[in-house]
Amino acid sequence: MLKGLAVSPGIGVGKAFVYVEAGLDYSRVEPQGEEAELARLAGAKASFLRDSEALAKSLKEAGNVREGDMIEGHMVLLEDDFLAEEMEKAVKEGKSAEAAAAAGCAAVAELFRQVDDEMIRARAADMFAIRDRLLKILLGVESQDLSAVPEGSVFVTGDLTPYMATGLKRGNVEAIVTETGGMTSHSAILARAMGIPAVMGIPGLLGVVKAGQTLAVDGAAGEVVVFPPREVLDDYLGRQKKWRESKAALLVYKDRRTKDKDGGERLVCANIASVGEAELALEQGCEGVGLFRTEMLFMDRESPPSEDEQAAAYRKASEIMAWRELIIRTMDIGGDKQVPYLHLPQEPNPFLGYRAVRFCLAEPELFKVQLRAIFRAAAGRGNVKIMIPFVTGPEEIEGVRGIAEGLKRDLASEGAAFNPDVPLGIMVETPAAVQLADALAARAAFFSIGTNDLTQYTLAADRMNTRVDYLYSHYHPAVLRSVERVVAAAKAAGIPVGMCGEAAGSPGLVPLYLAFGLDEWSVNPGSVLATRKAIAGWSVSEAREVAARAMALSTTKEVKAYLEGVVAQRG
Amino acid sequence: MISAPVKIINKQGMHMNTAKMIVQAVKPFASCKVVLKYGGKEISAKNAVFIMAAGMKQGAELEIQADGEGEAEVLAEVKRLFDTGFGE
Repeated sequence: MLKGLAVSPGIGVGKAFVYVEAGLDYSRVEPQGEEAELARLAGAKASFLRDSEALAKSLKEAGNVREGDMIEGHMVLLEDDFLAEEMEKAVKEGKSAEAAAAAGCAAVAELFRQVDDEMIRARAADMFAIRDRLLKILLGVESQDLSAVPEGSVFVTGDLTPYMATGLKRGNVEAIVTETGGMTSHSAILARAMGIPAVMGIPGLLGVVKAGQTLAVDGAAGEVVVFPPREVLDDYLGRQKKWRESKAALLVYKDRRTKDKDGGERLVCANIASVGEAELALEQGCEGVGLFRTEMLFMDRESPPSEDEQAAAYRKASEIMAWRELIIRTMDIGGDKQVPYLHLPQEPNPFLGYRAVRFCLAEPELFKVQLRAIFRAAAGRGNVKIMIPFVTGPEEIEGVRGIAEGLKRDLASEGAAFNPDVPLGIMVETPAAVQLADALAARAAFFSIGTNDLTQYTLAADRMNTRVDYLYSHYHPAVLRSVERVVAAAKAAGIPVGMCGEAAGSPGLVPLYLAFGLDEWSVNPGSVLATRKAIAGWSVSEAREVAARAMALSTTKEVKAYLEGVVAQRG
Repeated sequence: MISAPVKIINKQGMHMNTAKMIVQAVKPFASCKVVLKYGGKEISAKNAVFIMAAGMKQGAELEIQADGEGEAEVLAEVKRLFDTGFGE
């Protein structure tokens, strides 16, 4: 059995479809003379440019402006005179078109490597990507066609790129297994959003698995069995059946609005990190987006996204959501989410350091671009809201509001189309914000409780630290009292209050949150239906009874045992 | 021939996307020679590789020279890219 990271839960059994990049060995290509090789090069370049132009256009139309820009950047590099001269020189030395393409790209990569700028040095990798595409065209080898992955496949590859993930036919893929990739990699997030079981980070995977072999995958345990014996296979098939049945049973909740047993309306929304996920979340039946993490727009690139690029992304997400709300969290950068091109200093205590709203207020240039983009994206649309992360006091809300008002004046004087009435809410995720909830509620349009950080800061326990992670629990009475207090403050001020941390997806905590009066649960797209079902199972009076008992307990263990017992008893 | 001094104001300095924007801006002006003068070197504005390899960072001061048909127009366009920080 192979062990990897349990990236996306579920059971998948199928035949391995092994996706490997095509071999690009050109050592046996015999050069056919200068003229012929130059013509082959010219043909390959033309074909490269034609494909790229179409790809860049379709990427940009789909809202992936950054990827589109990258493809266009490759086109400009390919058309560069220096690269052309280097390739020509190699052909004249008697090399094949393939060898010339490799030599030219290597020469440019070498130039980039010598530049005293990390961003430019990193572009050497782009030159090798360009080389590989040229070689594929020249050698006539194609990567396998993703749309040809047959029904009942387990998709096996080295590194699942977002490009691959979006090209896969979902119905045909039982599970995804990869050599590299972590829990928070973009491909892991996509696998979860698509509801496909996935195990990632299995070193040496491609050396072990052969195409066509049967694989049994447990995405929750992070286990893959290659060519399972009969009894193991039966066990997996049995569990797969159960998993599918429970998924199917949830489908009745897909086109329903969220209501508790009394018919009281609540909302189950989704957490997303990219525009592409908005569509997936909608397919999962979400009633809006309670958290659009915008960091992804800023990461894995060499410069920040422009105002136009951001506005296009936010606009697209807003349009996908139609009338449903879209809460855009402004960048939560700094701390553990580092963005190299910002050159932020290393800190001894990043979780207690310069991040999120602190960074945005101290160095507002990037923040201003983001806010302007949101105001413009929201023009003529009523579903966009802004959420500020990591607030500790009212002055931060006022600081953001001051910046926002100035930007609106600028936009108005420029005659730009924008929405001046985008509600400004906050994430409640620090103990300070809990204590000051009444003062904050007077200034914020809404609250969303971020339980991951709130739990960590309330209990002063890093959940990545295995010596203290036993303390980290959303069931801890101190955390529950904090949530109760925040919801009460929001209710007293008459503002809506939601929750966007992982705790929102815990069925055991649903009765407590219902009893407190939580309005909105925002969860991973894959948990939307299960959460809606859990809420439908409780009347407010039942929930209050359970909450009264649970809140009288004083340890995590007692609370957890009691609530899990209650949920188990109700089936 | 006309010329204009410019300064790189965007935080990231010159990189692939900004170089791409310059090359795309001068491309329609086939019979005009556009050069970026920086650090004693003359870099063709049609040449993304050399623009990137020059390692121009935020604050770098350079001169744009345009010579040929449409020189005023292309100079204004390239200058605008620098002045607006390439929209970043």
